[in-house]
Amino acid sequence: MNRKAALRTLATAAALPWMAPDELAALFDARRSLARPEVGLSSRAPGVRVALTDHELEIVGLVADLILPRSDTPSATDLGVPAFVDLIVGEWMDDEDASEFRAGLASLDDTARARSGAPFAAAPEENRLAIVRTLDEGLPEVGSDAPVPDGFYPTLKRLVVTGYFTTAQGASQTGYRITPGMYAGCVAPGDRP
Amino acid sequence: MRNEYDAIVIGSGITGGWAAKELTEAGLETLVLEAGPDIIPSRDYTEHVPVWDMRFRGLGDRKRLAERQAVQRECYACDELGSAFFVDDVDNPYTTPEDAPFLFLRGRQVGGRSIMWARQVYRLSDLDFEANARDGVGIDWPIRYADVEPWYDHVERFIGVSGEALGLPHLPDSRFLPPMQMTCAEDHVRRGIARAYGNERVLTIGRCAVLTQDHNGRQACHFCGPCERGCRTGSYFSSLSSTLPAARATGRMTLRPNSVVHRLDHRNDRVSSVHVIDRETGEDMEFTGRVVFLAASTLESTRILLNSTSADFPDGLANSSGALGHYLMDHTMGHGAAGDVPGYEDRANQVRRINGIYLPRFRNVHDAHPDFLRGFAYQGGGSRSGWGRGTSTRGMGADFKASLADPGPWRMSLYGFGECLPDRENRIELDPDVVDAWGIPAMKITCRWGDNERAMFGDMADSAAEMLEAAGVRNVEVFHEDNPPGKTIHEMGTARMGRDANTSVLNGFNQAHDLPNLFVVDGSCMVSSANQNPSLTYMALTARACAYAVDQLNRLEL
Repeated sequence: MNRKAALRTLATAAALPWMAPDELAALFDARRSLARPEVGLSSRAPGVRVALTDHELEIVGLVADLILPRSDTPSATDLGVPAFVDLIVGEWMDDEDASEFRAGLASLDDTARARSGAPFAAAPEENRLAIVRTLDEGLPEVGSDAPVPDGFYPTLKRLVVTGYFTTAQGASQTGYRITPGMYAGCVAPGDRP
Repeated sequence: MRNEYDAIVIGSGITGGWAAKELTEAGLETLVLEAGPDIIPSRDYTEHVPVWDMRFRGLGDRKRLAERQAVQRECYACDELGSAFFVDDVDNPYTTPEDAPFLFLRGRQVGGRSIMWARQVYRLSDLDFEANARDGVGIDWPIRYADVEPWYDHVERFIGVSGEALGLPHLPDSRFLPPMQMTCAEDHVRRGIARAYGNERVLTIGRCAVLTQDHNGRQACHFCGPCERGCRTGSYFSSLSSTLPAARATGRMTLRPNSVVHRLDHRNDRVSSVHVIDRETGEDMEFTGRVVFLAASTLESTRILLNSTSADFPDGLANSSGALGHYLMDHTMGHGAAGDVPGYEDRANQVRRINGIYLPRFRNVHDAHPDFLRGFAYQGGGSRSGWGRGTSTRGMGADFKASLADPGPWRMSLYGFGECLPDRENRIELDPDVVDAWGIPAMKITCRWGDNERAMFGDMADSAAEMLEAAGVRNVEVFHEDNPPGKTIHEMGTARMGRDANTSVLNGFNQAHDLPNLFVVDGSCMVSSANQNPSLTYMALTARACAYAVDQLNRLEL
């Protein structure tokens, strides 16, 4: 029998069988996405800037707010997403992945300069939007079979969306409750406990 | 602290807790020795900690996990907070052959893995107990369903199991509390499978040791989600929520955490003393009991016996058969199918049910499959994706952000769990070159999937796809995960029971053939693996063994 076989990453493989398309699995997926053997513990104190320069943080904030801008709900920078990205780059990624990530941020400057003569933060807004949109279109549509690519932009997107919806404010937009009280299997979304 | 007890129980996990309860309730002064630290729910349980209060927002302290828990992190439950319940791999090493990986995933604390387990509970039937005899594989179980049935009843009455009665002879019903709800997608697929296959195949809600109503003084579940991080309402079964409190209430239990049992001594055919190293101080101590129950978990119990050599037992205590350490099994998992469920756009499921669906075995029940013996069942589920889909898909801007606040498309998956035949070559032994942090010889684990296991992989996935398509699921794809033995965390065998003392370690009452006052009650006793999640059977066998031991003591046979 000729069946299309889905490419299963180690990540989705490792969650409980009923957890598949869910934010818990997405967190697990993100956790496993940069699996490489490494050693060494970080001893940096929490809350302190750990890795990214002001310039890099500015780029992260601008990209993050293009993905999740302020609307009737807060933007990514409103919810502190750049600080989360900084923490992950500094204390979670291994050195090789962190270098690759920062090289990706620098490449946004290169692309912006090539198009407008200015680095990313100083380039016109429509240039910044076009650059990020091109990168974003490299990701598959929801429900597609295509595998998710690796690399700088997919990593940044994953961190931005995760960093947003794992805040109290972001989670509240999804109707998240710590103790729902009961389980409803098939109701209108607004009626979920 | 006194050194002599009526009974000593080694281990406080899912079976150790049951031994503690049954023996103390029968009137025995019982010492429970747990290798790991005590767990205080109000201090140690973290199920209500919101993700925004976690340092890495749930991604985990990856560097620390890589350094200290490089193996344990392979378990979904060993996450940012749950890692506290898993062992330190550096302190607790084991080895495997280079070409035969085995994931030994476990905790070491009061409650053991009963804190983190997935809570799925299914009875075995005579289809399983008769399988070895019928197929000519391994040795015959010395018991049948009729022997265990009253003990399944006994355990379920106490712990509370929710689920749906199906009347299937090969998956006997438990004494059920009300079943949890299915989602729209699951119900849709359930009806489609019933239409296409009639009574031959049935999709049901998972049978789980989670309370859907208050039971025995414990509160019904409030569906917060991460059971594996603890449950201060005691709504799922764990030693800590249920059996240990019952034992404590008798006033006859002494629980000693931080007690690493490394050796059992014997005098003639009686275990005479239990040797302990204090986990924190390194102090040596000895305890004696009229009867000793090993419930340290499948591999750790056998490891203690292998480390307890003597002139009479050069190959390990209770091992005159030579079977100790051999016939290790685990369930296969990770072959199945998934697809998109059409419709129900105006409906959604609540995200965290802490249970999935179950599709019982249908292979080699009424028919004989040409390619393999035994069979497999499915877990899985159907739900709408959450904001997580936005981490890896296309989309930017205000509309994209708003869309992630709403549920995504419905997906349904069936995920197979397969039986594993007993094979003498699948085994544990002591590694002469490796010791743990307390100087105790570590295990070398050798376990490989055999031909019968592999022969099921294709059918597990193809049958899942066929059923999903028959139920109207679209874009169905099969998947095959390459999971090594151990990943399913249903490791069992290595001290199997049997009628013949030449080919088994234990008799039908979990009693060592060689030493009548030694009982081994965890998964090590299993003779075949079936495909069902095994913990309910471990608990039932433990309760049964305790009743037998008490009876033997009362008759002064011990």
